[in-house]
Order: sequence, then C-alpha cells, then structure tokens
Amino acid sequence: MSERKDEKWLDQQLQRAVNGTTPAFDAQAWKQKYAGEFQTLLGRSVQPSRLSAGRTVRRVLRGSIGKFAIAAALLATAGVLLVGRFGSTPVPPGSGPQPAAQQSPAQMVSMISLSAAFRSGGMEGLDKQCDRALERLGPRPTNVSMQELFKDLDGKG
Amino acid sequence: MVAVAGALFACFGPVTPAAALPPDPDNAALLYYQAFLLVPQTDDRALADMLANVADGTIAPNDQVKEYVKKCRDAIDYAVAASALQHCNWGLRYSKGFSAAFPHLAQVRSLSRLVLAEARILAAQGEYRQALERCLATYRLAGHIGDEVLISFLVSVAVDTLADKCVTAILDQMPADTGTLTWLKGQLAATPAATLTASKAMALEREVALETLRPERMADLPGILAEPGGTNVEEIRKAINEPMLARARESYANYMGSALAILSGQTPYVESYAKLRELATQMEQAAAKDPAMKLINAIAPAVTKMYVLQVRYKADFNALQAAVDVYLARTGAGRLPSSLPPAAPRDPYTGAEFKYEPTGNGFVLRCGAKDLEKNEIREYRFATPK
Repeated sequence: MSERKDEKWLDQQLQRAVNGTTPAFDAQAWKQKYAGEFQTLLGRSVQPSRLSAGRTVRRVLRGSIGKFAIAAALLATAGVLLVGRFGSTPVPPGSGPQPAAQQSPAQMVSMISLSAAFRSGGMEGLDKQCDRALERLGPRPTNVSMQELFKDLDGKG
Repeated sequence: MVAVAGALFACFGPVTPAAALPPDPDNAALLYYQAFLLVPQTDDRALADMLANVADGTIAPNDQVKEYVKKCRDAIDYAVAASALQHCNWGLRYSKGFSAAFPHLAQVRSLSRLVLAEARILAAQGEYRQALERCLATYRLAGHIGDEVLISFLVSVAVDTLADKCVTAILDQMPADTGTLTWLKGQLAATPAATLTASKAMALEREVALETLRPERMADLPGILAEPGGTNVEEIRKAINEPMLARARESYANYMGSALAILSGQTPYVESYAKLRELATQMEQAAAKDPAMKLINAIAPAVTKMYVLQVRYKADFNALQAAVDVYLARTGAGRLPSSLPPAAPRDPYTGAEFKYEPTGNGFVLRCGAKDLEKNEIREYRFATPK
C-alpha cells in the first residue's frame, strides 16, 4: 500500500468513526497542547535510530495487525467522543458554567441558551447561536449505500 | 370473465392498492424532519454563506448556488409538502422546562434559506408565480415554527422577514398581472404571519419559568440558570433557598403579568415602549439589590426587544400587503394610484395608514413614527416594472 493510499484509508476510517466529517490535524495546536510530549518526541528524534517516525507509521500501516490496532484505537476514541456528544450522562452537580464552545449540541439549542443569546445579542445573537448549532448538528450525510448496509449487517463494516 | 372477477371479489374482497398503503403523515413536523435529513451534506462554508446571500437578495443566484439547490430538490419538495399541512407538532419536551432542546429551530432557518434561494432562482428565470409559491410555503413554514415560546416566535419572525424581502424583490420585477396579484393578496392575508404574536409565547414561557422555580426543582436550578460568562453555578447554589424561590416566583409572575398587560393592550407604540423600558429598568435595579430578582432577571424574557421586533415585523408585513394593494390598483388603472387604497393594512407604529409617495420608478411606504430602538422611520421602497 502506497503512502497516499495509507492516508486515504486512514481518512476513511476516521471519517467513519467521527460521523462523516473530514478530519483535519492541527499540528500547531497539538504542539502547544502537548508541549511536554512534543519535546520528548524531539528528544527521541536526535537519538540514533534506523527508522524515522514516518517510516515507522508506514510500516505499522502496512501490516494488517497495525491497521486493526489503529482502527480499534479510532473506534475507541470515537466511542468516547460520541458518548460525550450524545450520551445522557448528567452534568455533575457543582460543575461551573460552560463556555459556549463547550456546550453540548442539546445545550446549544436549549430554551435557556437560545433565550440568553437573544437577550445578550438580539436577533443577531440568536442567529449566531443557531448557526453554531447547525455547524455541530447537521445536515447529516445522506449517501448510505446498500453495499455499506450489507457490510454492516455482515459485521465486516 | 365477469364470473372470474366475481369469484376473485368473493375470495379476496375489493382490491384497492391505494387503500393498502399507509397514509402520508398528517403532522407537518415529520416531513420537515425528513427534509432536514435530505439536505445534502456540505462542509463548504463559503457555499452556505452564498446560499444565505442569495436567499436574502444580497447577491444574484450564481451557478454554484443553482447547482447546490438542484441537489436539494428532494429536501425542498418535502419542505413544501410539509408546509401545505395544517397540523404541526414538533414533539418538543416542554417537561424539561428551560433545558428543553429546540434543535429544529437551527435547521428550519437553514431550510427556509434553501426554499427562498430557489424562489430567487425561479424569479430570475421569470417563473414568478412559482417563485411566489415558494415564498408562501416559507410563510407557512414560519407559521409551523409557531409562537408557543419566545424563541420559536423569534425564529418565525426571522423566517417571515426573509420571505417578505423575497416577495418584495419578486414584485419589483414581475410584470403587472391582476390574476397573480389577486391570488397573492388572498394568500398573504391567509398566512399565519398575520397572526403570530409575542403575547401567546410569553404565556407559555411564564408557565415554564414558574414550573422551573418550584422548590422541588431547587437542585436543578443552578445547572439550568448558569450562563456562560454570567452568574455561575456556585453563586446560584449559595443564593437559593425556599423563601428566596417563593419570592422569585411571585416577582416573576408580577413582572410577566405587567409585561403581558402592556403587550396585549391597545396603547400606542411610543407609550407601550416607554412602559416596557421602565419595567425592565425596575427589574435591573431590583436585581442589583435582591438575589431573587437577579435570579429572575436571568430567565425573564427581554420584553422590550421582543416588543420592538414584534411591531417592526408587523409593520414589514402590513407594508407588503399594502404594496400589493397598490400594485393591484395600478394594474386596474394603468398607473399608480394617487393615494393608498382605503382597505390597505395600517401602520402599527401609529395605527394610521402608511404614508404613501409615488416616485419616479415606483413608490414608497413610510411609517408615521420612529422605530425607537433604531431611532429611525421605517420605509419600504417598491419598484414598478415597465
């Protein structure tokens, strides 16, 4: 499998796992958020090594066990994300107010949030809140093919 | 052959394939929800913006938008079919009080833009009647959003306002046609836009708030009322106790009672506006001293803003209807009338008729008093195509 195909396969897996949105990796944000880990990686890169990180990834991707491991990790991540997004876990008492960016889709379109958006920003505020919600909520992908459905039913999906 | 048919009838009874099919939904919301799902997904933010601009007339329809609208054919068909139904129940969980989710509101705005973008495309192709039908479907959609609670009312108003702009643009370019104008006049008079009010919304809003402020729900209140950047959960938790809640309930009921009396009254715009402003000021001053008032200040609707919007919206819609009367008079006489037709809808700012002025290429309708929030007289310009 070529490097390009590997990427495509990875993208497809990600897309399946996170409900159809095209994944994008923000390297700068990642570096800032995980500064310690990034430094560790940099430190390792100066150690004598016969394989670069990219080569290692490609090697892992070539093997079917590697693919399954990555797919499992992706599914687990997606599971955590989806539980966070749609789960009915109650908000623990004592948690502070959530910034707008951290609101769940249901919170974004709740009566209190939409009313607050109007109170503070008038129709423009309400419009913006609706737009933000729409970005998170949909529309949903509609191109579910019969082939995909059969794959899912066979458990091969 | 008759004998065979008779035997078949005896064995199986009358065969009516149509009767065997389950009926289509009679609840418009079920069709709207399907329409939301049928909108093709796009991550193209620029396209979404372009669509919104076409819908509100900021830009003319271009090939990209036309192509996308074509892909949305099924979603639009479902939306139009839904709008034709009388009954619409969105299935909202009002039992959750202020936490009740209204996900359809965001979707409905987007769907209405799609329908109106198609109206603009049809108008650009000279298919005015069809374009107007799309606008009327949008008015009915706004009616289906309803005015049960204030946010629904607000979204209805936003959707109606977009439809008003689209009808105005179509009238500006449509050649004089008595049949279409007479039909449009009747259709506009029958749209729910004529009957939506903030008062009805406020009545249910009050019930939801009073239910939320019950002592049994005290534990949920901090989570519900904390706002990003506003009062936080801990602050509310510390402040809340039963006597305080009782006080908050009473004050809230009084506040809403006063606001509703002003909104439902027949007092002139300027007077109502001043009274609502005073009420809001009193509430803010009280909130600075009393935690109970601070609590209700977080849930009480912004009634002055609401009232301003309601009157503005009514003025826009009445002006549009009055303009249709002018266009009709023009088709009859072959020229613009010298004054407004007597039965034309009135200016809600004054209760009098709009100020009418023919211009070189059309006419203007003006309100008789200022919109006090914008501090300007609203005016509506209409073109008369040659």
